[in-house]
Amino acid sequence: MRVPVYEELKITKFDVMNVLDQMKKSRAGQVPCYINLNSLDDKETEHALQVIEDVLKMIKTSAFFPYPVYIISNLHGLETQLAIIESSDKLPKHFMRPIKRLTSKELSLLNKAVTLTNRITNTPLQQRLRELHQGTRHHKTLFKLSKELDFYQGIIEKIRKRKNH
Amino acid sequence: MTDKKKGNKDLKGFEEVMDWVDYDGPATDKNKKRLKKHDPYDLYNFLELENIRLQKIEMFFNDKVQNLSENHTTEKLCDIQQNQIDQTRKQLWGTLHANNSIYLKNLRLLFNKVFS
Repeated sequence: MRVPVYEELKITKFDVMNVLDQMKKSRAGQVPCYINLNSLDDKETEHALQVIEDVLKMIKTSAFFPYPVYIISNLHGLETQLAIIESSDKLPKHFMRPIKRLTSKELSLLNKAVTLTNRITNTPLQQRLRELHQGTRHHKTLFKLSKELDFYQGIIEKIRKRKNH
Repeated sequence: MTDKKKGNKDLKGFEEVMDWVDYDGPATDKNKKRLKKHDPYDLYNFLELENIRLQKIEMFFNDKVQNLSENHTTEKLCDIQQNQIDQTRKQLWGTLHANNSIYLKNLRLLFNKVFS
């Protein structure tokens, strides 16, 4: 059991097998982690991002839930679904904690956190996210239809008022 | 000396917190940093917050999103709204094209002005 604080994934070679191996070793998705791509150029970064996305799909891990996988790169306009941050200083402070020996109370809290993490990991997150997107699409359609109806009703109301005058 | 001892007795039970306080003067940035470093409940608080966060995520995906997909009413509402739109359009069409409607009167006026 590890306290969920940042862990750096040091990947030197961005081929699927190597990244897969590193991610499995570091338990990506079970603890917050980041990969520094600042030493790579444009093309290499794009390739690395593609490989990381593929590997995350392969191990059925979300890049955001329960723990995020951040990419550190100072390149702009990268096409990816992963969260990109300019430098490690700008990572969210929530997971930046000094590690020390845990007391029994802290250990019981950590146990609970691990159980919850496992429950989230066992949820089909991709499917749930798809369902969520579908739901939002329906909501947008409903909004458009309501707006149209309101427009027609507004015209009818104006005509009625005009007639009464 | 005796005063000091008496003072110590009064502060019994607070020894754990005593070393957080800097008696040398007002808290400077350096002192604040030191106090932060020594916060014994920092990790405990973090783990508690973490549990709340994870519980919320778990509830969101396992209860709320699942509920949304199983009992979605939005599609039905969209159908109802579409029916209402159709009816309102018909009503509007009828109102605009009635013989003595304001729309036709204005249109007549416009045509008479332009083409007469």
